[in-house]
Amino acid sequence: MILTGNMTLAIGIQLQIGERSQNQAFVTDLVECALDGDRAAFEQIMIYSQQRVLAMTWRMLGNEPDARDAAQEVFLRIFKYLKRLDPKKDFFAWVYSITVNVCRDFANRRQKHGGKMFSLDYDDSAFELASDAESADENLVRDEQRKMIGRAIASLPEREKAAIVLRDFEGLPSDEVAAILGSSPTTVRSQISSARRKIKIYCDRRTERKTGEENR
Amino acid sequence: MNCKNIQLLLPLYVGGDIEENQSDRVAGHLRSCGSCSLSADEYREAIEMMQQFTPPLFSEAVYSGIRRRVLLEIEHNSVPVKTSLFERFLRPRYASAIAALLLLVVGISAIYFNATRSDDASHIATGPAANKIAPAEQPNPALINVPKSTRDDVAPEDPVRDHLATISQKVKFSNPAKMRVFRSQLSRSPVADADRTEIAAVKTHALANVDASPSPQTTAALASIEKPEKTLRMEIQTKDPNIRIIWFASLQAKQTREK
Repeated sequence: MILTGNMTLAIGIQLQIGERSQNQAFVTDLVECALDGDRAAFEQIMIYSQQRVLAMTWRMLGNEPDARDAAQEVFLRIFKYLKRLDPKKDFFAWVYSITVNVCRDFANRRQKHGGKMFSLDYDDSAFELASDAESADENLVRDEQRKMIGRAIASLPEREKAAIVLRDFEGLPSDEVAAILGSSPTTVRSQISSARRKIKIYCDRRTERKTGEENR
Repeated sequence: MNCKNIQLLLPLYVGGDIEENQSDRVAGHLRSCGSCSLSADEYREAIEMMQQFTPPLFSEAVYSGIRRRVLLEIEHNSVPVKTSLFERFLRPRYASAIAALLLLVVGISAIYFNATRSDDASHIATGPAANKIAPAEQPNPALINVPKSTRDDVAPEDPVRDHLATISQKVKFSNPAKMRVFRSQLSRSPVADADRTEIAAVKTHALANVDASPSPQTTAALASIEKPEKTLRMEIQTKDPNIRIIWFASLQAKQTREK
């Protein structure tokens, strides 16, 4: 049997939809159990969502200690507001909206205490663990690129940062990003466009400066 | 579309965030414009670099640590804090409820006191029988017209009233099952009432002839009339509300008997 490109795409989408609805049903069951006071069910919810939450908080806050604290706060808020979760809506969209709010609170708190908006204390050892298999040169280049992107993201305003992280790192469509951030799709597209332009300009300048230093 | 418009759309075009018709127009422009095409490639590179901006691989210990702290926090918050009864009453909602209740009780007491005080004032306390005194009657019209000097006779220290109270007690205790003292008071006899009407008429006549000196007959009449005879009046209300025993006695006769 030969599958054309469109057929493969259609099957892929159907599989995705099927997987998503299965996951949604799984989460709905867990939420019901957690609401009945089942702590193990809530722990399962945390296990189910911990990678996404921690990745998001790390991208938004830029360092591991803050990311862990923020993730903890996210789970506490999930537990607190679990009753408000609409089972018809996507669970992760709800989790992301909580995560964005928590990260915004953390950033505001940091700003109040005179800290930087986005500290970039990236844990290099963690990256080494992640890229053990790579060669030393590739590892170095990737590390440089990560740091550059990290700084570029750090320079963005909070709303643009949240929009670009959800769209380009978490891979959500712009309409979903708009729903999570509580903005219109047009506003979110404008924020995404502005963020991408700023990141590109930042990267271009850094690359030019580096090339100039190497030529000297 | 010119290059300026395309440059605005490029960040969204490379990420696939614009509508299909706009995307086709941008793609058409990029095929013909070298600088815009170069710019689009730079955006693609930036997005590719962003894709590599992956978080570090967090160990299971990090995740389990977060979960443990969250569950501990939940447990800590779910344990109800033991508070004393007094502390519970100090909570704002309880305190306001208690305050409202107290206000209500004070208000009701004030209304009750105000309503019952007027009744009590109309009674004449007659020793142990006072508790069983019925509500006050309408004021005796005969008493209303009594001059102030004679009204003062109804003072609490009046021996006549004390005597009346004794009689009331006697009546009550002699046959408590059938009757009770309804009201006892010092009053005037119907004869005395008639005299008062006459006094009023004589006084009116005297005022009308203020210039003229009073005749000897008028003076004598006034002298004889303005000495009203004191009487005892006692009312006894039987259990049947329609039957009331009213008893009049001459005070002078009583005093004479006592002498």
